[in-house]
Amino acid sequence: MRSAARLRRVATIAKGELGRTRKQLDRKTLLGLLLFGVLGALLSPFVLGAGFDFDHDIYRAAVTADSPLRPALEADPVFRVFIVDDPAPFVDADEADLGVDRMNAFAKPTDKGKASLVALDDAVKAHTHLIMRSEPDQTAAFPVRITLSYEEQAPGAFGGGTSGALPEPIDPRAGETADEEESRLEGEGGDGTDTPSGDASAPPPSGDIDGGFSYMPQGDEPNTPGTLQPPFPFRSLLLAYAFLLPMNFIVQVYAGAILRERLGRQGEALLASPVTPMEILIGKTLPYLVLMLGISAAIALWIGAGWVSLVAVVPLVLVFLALEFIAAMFARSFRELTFLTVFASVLLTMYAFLPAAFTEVHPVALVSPISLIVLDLRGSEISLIEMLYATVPLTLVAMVLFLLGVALFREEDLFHQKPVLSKAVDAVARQVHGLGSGFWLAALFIPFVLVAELFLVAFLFAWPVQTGVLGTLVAIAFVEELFKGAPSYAAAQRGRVPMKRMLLFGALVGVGFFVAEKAFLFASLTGLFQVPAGAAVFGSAGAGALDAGIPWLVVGVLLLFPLLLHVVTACISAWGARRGRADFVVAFTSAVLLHAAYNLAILKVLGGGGLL
Amino acid sequence: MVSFSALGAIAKKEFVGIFRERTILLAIVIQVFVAAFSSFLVVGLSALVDPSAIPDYTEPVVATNGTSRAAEVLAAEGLDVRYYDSDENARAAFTQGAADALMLVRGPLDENGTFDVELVLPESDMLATLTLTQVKNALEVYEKELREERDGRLVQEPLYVEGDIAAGQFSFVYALLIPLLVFLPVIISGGLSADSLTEEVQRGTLPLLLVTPANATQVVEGKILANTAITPLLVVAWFGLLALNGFSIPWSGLFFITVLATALAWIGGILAAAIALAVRDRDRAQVLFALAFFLVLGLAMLLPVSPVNAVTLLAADSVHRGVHLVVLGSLVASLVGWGLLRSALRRAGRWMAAGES
Repeated sequence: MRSAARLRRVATIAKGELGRTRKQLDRKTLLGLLLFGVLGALLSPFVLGAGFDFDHDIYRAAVTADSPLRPALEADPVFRVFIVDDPAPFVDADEADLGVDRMNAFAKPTDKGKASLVALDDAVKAHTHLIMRSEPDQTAAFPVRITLSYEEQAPGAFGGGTSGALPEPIDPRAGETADEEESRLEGEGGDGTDTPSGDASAPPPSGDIDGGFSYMPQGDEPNTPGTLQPPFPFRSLLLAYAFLLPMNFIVQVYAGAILRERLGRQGEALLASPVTPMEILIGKTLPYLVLMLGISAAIALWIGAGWVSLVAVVPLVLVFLALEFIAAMFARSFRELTFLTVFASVLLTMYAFLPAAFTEVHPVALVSPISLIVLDLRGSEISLIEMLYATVPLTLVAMVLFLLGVALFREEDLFHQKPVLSKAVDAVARQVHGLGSGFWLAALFIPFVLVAELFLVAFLFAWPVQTGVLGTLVAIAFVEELFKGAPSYAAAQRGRVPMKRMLLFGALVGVGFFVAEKAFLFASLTGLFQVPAGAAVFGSAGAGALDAGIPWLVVGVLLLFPLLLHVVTACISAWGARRGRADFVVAFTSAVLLHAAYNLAILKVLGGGGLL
Repeated sequence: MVSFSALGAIAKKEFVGIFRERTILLAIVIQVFVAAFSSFLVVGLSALVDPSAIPDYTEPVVATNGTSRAAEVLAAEGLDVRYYDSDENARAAFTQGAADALMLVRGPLDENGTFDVELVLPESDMLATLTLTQVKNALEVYEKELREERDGRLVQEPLYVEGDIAAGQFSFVYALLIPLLVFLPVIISGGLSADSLTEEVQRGTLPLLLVTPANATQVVEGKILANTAITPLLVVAWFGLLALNGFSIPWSGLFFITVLATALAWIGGILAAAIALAVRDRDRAQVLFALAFFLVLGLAMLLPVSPVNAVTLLAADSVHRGVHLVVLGSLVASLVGWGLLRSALRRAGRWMAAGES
């Protein structure tokens, strides 16, 4: 009975939310949307026709009038062409980036100069292609014709063969008798059905995809070397955008709806009713969740993805909504909310895209659900463990965010201008119900730690190795200690734990953190990371030992060290938290330094010392 | 002069608000994120055009069906070519991952025919791009050799650029990244103006502002002004970040880009304010403003020199007179827009006072 009443309340709130959104679409707005829509539709052919040539005229080329390369330059919009008698002085005086004296091309050795030579090369190739197209003898003009196709390789085969059935390559010099290449090829040419047709204008339309969006460019048409087009390497970025872009608009409305309850105390009536905060949250979120999933399903259908892709989108949608919810709970104005929204979508896009770019290179890519979509579109087999790996941590993150946000659903946090930090402390402190909470909170924070560490690695990616490694060590220690210190600080500040037992609370935080981290590591080691590099990324003493098949007793001893570290540093922070804000900062800093020193020592012992 | 001090007071209040909310900090964090993101892209892109920059990079392995001239050219161009005695074996080597590409060469039936090459690549973004880039270059060399042999049958002479050509990411940075980074603050500014005005309406605080010495025009203008002021700050910050990454632009370019971006942000702010006052609701105003902004930008793309192109040319130091005309035009447009806003506000000044709904 009670759950039925609860469902009814949730449904009422959801209905109210829908009604509000519908009312928003009044006549004036619809008219505006229609007007802009029609204008956009009318305009788009012209704009598309004009092209998005941002690099129009970017290189200034000084060229002699008699240069055979001149038509090539004039045909390419990236060049602004000047006809001169002697190009050299113009290049010297920086009045031109590229000089062309008959067939001789030169530029200054600057980035722009080099780039202009590359552009010249492209322009001349395109021009030559055009000339050759008009030749009467097409077999002389295009002596090489290429059929391009893409096929999946055996999984995990990258970097070396595995099975015994692998054929052995032959030594080309052994068959010296076949020196007359033409005749040899003639003999071999008869084995295929695809004898050259010699008709360049009729591409064989074999095995065409049924319209829509296909993952890899279709390589059915005969190419010449010049028309071969390497695939865009970041197609996963486009895929991520295809799903994330429409979401942006919806979450903005969602965040606005949440914030509106807070502005002008409009949400007070809801708060006074018998509805629980969780019911308000679910009721307000449900319509948007359904809408986003519906749109994602439509997109999945459009790009030809399967149900796996839809499953992969769910955690993304949840995290997006959860981030917006938190943003709306913390924002003090619409203006701030706009910034937070942009920030959240940049964050999420990066998280979804960065790892997915490495889908075929490394299993770590699976931390992003977009990787699942990439695999799905490619028709690869996806195991259950891969699916769980890509979806569960992110879903957990969303759940924790919602939990933290709901904790702020009370009068003083909703309607009063409170410092951001104090609100955050409230949100965490309200999760603490007794000592055991320390263990669970720390464990629940693990996905956040992993996400943060992933960003750090991507962030320090382009740095010089030495600073990069040292910076990563300190930054990782900072992130881990931050998430371990936060529960203690919040609990102490709001008096959720007796002061005498703060140290015990801190120790439990350390244990919880350790257990969850190692559980995650173990799951990934057994399930996924057979690749040695995988262990290296998230590696620690325990992980290395498991790989090497060292007896369990030794593993136990080795695991003792990180456990000890996490407990000790967590206790240091908890001790500081007990004594107040200033002492917490000091204690926290020493915990970070201790942790970083430990990481450094481990790295040295494990042989990574050469890097430092 | 009184009117200016009131305008200044509104703009100052708005600006102080932005800083007190630390929204500007968020903007900078976003910038750093996007900058890190794009530096990742730049590193990735330059690795693709020049794979030797990747540590431990080995040349792609190409499996082929026996000796052929195409295979010899590939080997001479530095690719790691493995020869197999049949099509099937070469294909098996590829499917089992012993090679990064499969090349099956089928010669011409007679001396004048074409060489048909069947190329199979792995279904993987990065690997396929890397391998195809290398193979394409080698096959172009092969095509060139064959064309030279069949020279007598060609009417025109094919043209080639001789010499060593090292690709870079110049065009990506200057023609894509920089315009993106300049237009991001412009649209954010406009969005903020819309937020700030609809918020006053929805919180019911607009009448309070109007009983101060400031009149309706000054309130709106002050808000637009403050939010527009963010644009030059962010633009300059962007170019500082880019300079740290080794991408420099000339001072004159920086100056004109900042002027252009600020003028566009001002126009965007006027557009946003007009929409915000017309619909009086934050969400609707945001959506309509985003649509209107892209519509205007789309229209501007039809110009002989679009604002986006102008930013690229200014940054890349390839300025011509058209670019300066665009900067001048945007200044004129911003003044015209201002005039239109003023006259509209003066006419509609009274209903704003009744703005609580």
